[in-house]
Amino acid sequence: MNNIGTLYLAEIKKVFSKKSVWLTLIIGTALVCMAIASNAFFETYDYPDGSKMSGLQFYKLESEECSKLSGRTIDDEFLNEVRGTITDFALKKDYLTEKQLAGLNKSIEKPARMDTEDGFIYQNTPMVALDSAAEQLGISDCWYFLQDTLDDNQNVLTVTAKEFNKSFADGIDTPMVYTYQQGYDIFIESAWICVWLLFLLITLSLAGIFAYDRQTKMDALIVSSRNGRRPIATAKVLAGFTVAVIETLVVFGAVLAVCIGIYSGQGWNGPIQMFVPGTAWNATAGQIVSTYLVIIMVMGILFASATMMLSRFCGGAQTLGIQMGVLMLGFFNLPFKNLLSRLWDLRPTTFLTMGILSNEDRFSFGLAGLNCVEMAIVLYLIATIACMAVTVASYMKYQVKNT
Amino acid sequence: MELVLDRVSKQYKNKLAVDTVTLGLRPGVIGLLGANGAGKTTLMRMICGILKPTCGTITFDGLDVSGEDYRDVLGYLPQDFGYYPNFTGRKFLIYMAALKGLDKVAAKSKTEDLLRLVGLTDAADKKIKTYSGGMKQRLGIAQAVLNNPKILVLDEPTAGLDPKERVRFRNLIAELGNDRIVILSTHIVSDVEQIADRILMIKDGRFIYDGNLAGVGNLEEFYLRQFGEGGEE
Repeated sequence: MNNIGTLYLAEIKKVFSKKSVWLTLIIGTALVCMAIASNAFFETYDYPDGSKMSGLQFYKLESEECSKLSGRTIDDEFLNEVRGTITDFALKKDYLTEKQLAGLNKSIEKPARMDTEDGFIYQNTPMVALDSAAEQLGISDCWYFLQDTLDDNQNVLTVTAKEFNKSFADGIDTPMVYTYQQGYDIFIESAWICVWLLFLLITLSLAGIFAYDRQTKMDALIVSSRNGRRPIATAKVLAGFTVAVIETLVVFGAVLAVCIGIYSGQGWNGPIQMFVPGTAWNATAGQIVSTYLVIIMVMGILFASATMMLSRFCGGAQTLGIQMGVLMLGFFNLPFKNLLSRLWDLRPTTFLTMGILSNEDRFSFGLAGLNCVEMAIVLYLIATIACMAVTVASYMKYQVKNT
Repeated sequence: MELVLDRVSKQYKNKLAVDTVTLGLRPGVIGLLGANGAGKTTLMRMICGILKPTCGTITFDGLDVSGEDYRDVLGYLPQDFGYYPNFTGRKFLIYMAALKGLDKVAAKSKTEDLLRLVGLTDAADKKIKTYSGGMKQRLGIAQAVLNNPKILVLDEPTAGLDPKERVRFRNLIAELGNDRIVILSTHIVSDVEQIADRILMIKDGRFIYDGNLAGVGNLEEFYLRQFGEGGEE
């Protein structure tokens, strides 16, 4: 019997029997959740009349006000209806100082950023829309005004990218329906923290998966056993992936729960243009959250496979050190723009900080071009397979040389 | 049942650890004597298939020692017996049984039998890090015979044992040698002179003696003549 199932469970138990893994998982997740919740719990809004509102009260009020508008089609009628508020907002600029506008920021800011003609949304829309509102212009005027800017920016894209983005954006439902989605907005903005925490967690959890056997001198017993080569290597790799998936689900789930708990879970089926105005993605908030789960899961599996490969060749402490170096290296951007820098931009440790939903760059290989998310997932999977092939192949030839 | 070493050598960067060894081993207890650094552990590791010879071949009834089928009939207690300190004795044996290919029922039953055999039943649920040196060695021998091996390789198994435990261990090894090849590597002469059917003496990676006890007379004196008073080269 190759007993892979038994060995796999034993490896998972070994990882989760380490107190350091549990402590980092609990403390790290708690700290990330606290950071996300800090606006709601630690901020106070002071108003000129001397009254105060806690962050939590503010977001609750905002949610209630915006919910009243949810489900409305964003058109001239809608804009006309909220035009007074928009004008106030545009003129006063800082809505936080005006208590009567408290909680309305999302209901005025987001629709003001909409331009639904042809389904195209542009990032600079907010200011133009606000100005337009003040000048009593209609939404079609907004679009016309933006067209030149949009064309200018399209010039930096390849023909393939333009065509793909056009067809992608054409799929967006028009006219758009207003939906309040603050919970998912905050979640998408905070997703990069999940990635960093996962990177640390997975590295800590798996740095010893092979190295610990050498450290404890169990390696000689293992590789001289019947199942001590391919079955145990397979069990370790599968266990490593499982640990990565479990930790991803825990961190992802906790952060999403906090975002929804504080900022509401409304708008799962609403278009993401409500919180990413410039995006050409034809997707709902729910689809984007699910896409983020897939990206982060693939990242987690990549982190796991890279850590396991390092653990195969280096000691546990060395593996941790190298991975911390990789994290630091990820902070640097390349000072030039070519294919190499575009690929470097896909590095997992900082990928989600790069506004990927507004990134119109496409990678073309003669077939249909891949957007940055699709390209990143392909590269992560290739890197994962490469790391695992090296790990298992080298373990099959592993020799006990220590004396 | 024969383990055959054919012109086996192992060259490290600047040291020839094992030098062109040719040997055939049949069931019984084979005592491998040599000073520290003589090449015993390197030879043991090559026999166990965890260290590749620089040249030569090692086979057991035609099976190459690097294959799964060979490892299925092998039991090994390394010189520095490795273990997971936070595992209990019982959990460790169950884990080793899975590595050795035993199914769950057989693993559980064999574990209990062996815990009894090596006198660790009472300590079976204690973490191994709390065990004494002797208890760890007994656990080591238990894991080595979990799969009822045809070849049992014991590298310095009595190191760290008190005299009472050493006697008990010797008797156990002698019993195991009745129907399998037991290779007992040590630099403690008394460990092998009472139970070995065949004695191999290794120095600088080469065998300087291969025969039975009768051929050397007083083994300890013979050993000291070869390796000096301190037992070291």
